[in-house]
Amino acid sequence: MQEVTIKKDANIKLNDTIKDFLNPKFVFIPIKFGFKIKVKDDEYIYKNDIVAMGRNGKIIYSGVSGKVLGVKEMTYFKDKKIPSVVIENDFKENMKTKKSAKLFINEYTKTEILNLLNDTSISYKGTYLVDKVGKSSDLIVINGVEVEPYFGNKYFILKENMDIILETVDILGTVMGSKEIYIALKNTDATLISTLTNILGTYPNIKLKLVTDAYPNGLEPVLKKKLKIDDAVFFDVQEILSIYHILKRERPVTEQLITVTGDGVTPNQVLRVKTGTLLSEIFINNFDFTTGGVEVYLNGSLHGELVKSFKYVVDSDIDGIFISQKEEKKEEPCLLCGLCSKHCPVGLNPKYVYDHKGNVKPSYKEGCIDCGLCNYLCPANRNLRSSMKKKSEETSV
Amino acid sequence: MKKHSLNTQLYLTYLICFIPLFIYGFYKNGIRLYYKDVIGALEMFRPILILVSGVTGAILGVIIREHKNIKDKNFNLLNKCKECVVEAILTVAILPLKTNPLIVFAVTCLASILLYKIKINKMCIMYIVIEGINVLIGNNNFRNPYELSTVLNYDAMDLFLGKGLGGIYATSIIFIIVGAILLSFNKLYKKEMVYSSLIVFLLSGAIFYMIKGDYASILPYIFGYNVLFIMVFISPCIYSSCYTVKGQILSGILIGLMTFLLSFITLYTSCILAVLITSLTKNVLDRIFVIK
Ligand code: SF4
Ligand code: SF4
Repeated sequence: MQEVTIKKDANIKLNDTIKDFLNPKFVFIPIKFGFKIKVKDDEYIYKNDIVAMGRNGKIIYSGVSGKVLGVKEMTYFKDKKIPSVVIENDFKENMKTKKSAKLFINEYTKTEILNLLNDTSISYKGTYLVDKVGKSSDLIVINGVEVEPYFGNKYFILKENMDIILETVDILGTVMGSKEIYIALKNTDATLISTLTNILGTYPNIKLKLVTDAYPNGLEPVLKKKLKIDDAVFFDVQEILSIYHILKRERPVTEQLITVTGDGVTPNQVLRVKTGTLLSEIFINNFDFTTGGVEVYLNGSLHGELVKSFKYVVDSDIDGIFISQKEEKKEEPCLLCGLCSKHCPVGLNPKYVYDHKGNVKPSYKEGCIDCGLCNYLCPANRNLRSSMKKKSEETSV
Repeated sequence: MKKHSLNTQLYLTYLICFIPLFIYGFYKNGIRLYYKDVIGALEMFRPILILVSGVTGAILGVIIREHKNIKDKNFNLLNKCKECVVEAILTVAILPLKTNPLIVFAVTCLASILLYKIKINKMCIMYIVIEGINVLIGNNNFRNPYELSTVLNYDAMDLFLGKGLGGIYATSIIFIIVGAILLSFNKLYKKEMVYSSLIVFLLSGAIFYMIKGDYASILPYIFGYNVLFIMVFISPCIYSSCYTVKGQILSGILIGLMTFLLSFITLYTSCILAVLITSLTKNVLDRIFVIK
């Protein structure tokens, strides 16, 4: 596999600071399978009140204070339809009880940390943090490498919270019995590298690991290869920040960062939003299209999904949107250039799978990390990635 | 996200790489001959005439082939012609100076019309057809009038600069190497195939002449007969060679070996035949590395 550096459009530049959009009119709280709703229609609800409870004591909290309007089926990333409690925000952020957290986060014991993570049910991209932190591992890797070329969530998290991240990571290392902790960054993130190296001396067990600014080095399986690691627990910087906030305030995390960028939108901005906000509300209040015809990609133009509307609810599965000016992309016959198979980070042959309309032995698709690099590279504009996702004839029911 | 048209870039790079070869070829087979008094002033422009014939033939072929679409608003003649024009130029480069421009015109025109969708190396076919006609009419000598009139005795530097024998625009080794380096920067250029064919050919040729004890023949052999030009510019044709990296390396090895072996039968056509054979077998070669 040969590395691919994405040629960036110099006109697409993120603003230097994060913008807050923390007052949405409505917040949608997904009620996942196995959870029971604990609020009634028209009930007034405080911020951080319990909205639903699941098995194992997992709890879903409200991110705002306001009136419960009812339950509505909403659309989430990958078009998942999930019944969601709709809360009309009263913009007061009223909280019923204020728990007194410990003064220093290193005063918590392992059990206390796990209990807190369990109580707050904090999950990131489908994985509960309590499950990750509950593991023991000799090596922890903190992934600070942004996957998508134009996104800046990780950069801003690290830029604004480097001390906090290191402090939390150090505690996690003790809790998980780790001998070493790696913080992975792109070798082009000069500011972050210099800030980190200045503080690292205080943490002898934490090491800085640099990878090239190639795509898709930020995806876990690829990063693992790049760092030549067999076994490690990976954390995203966003996860570390969430853990810090939980320990510091003993409250669930209700905010997250998303990047809105591309040549079809203005401004190009990283936003701090309430988890559960509707994408359309974020867009209407903060952005404009640069032209009439645009294409919208949830989670980026490379490994994200092309969508037709902003009906999606923001949760930890959504890192941002890339909006590009519409391009005429006609699919052409294969040029036999071989770029797709030459650069596939896991050594697959997407052309072969595409030529067979996806009806190949599962082994031809095994290990596809859905990075979309094959689509990006294909000069014939073939949708190779989608054929990798199709069910094989042998496996389809 | 906007993609840059890689194949347009590749064809442009081919054209840029061809410029010094063109200048040197025109000097060697035109200007120099005129100043050596072996040809007249008009005859000096013969290399250009053959090149223009090839290019116009290719463009006319595309126009005939696409005549139904020409009125279409989105029709882009330049885009449609780029592949055929570059292929015509590269084919002309390896032809002998004596080639009749009319034959070149007719063959490139027909190739643009008839071989459009065929995924085998068109340049090999055009060359073989033109050379076949040259042989039939007794025009297949690669020496230009000056080279015919004198005893050739070139040192390594002469050969490197391009004084050796070969096609009209295909003798300057230094510019071929520069071209290979420039092209290697384009993602679509199948450099693995080119490098493996070069290594295998150079090694087998050098070892053979060393075993024979004929050290003087090593450089004229490896630098002559259009071989390096064909390996660098013609063999890695995108649509007619293997697409898997391993397939490309294997094709390169086969091209190098076959060129060496076939050169005992035919010097100037050995490499083109080797490229054609691997182009015909590309699917089989790829499958070896694809099947799980
Ligand atoms: S989407 Fe799958 S097949 Fe395509 S490059 Fe990525 S891993 Fe390879
Ligand atoms: S990248 Fe596209 S054009 Fe190139 S071999 Fe793969 S499918 Fe064919």
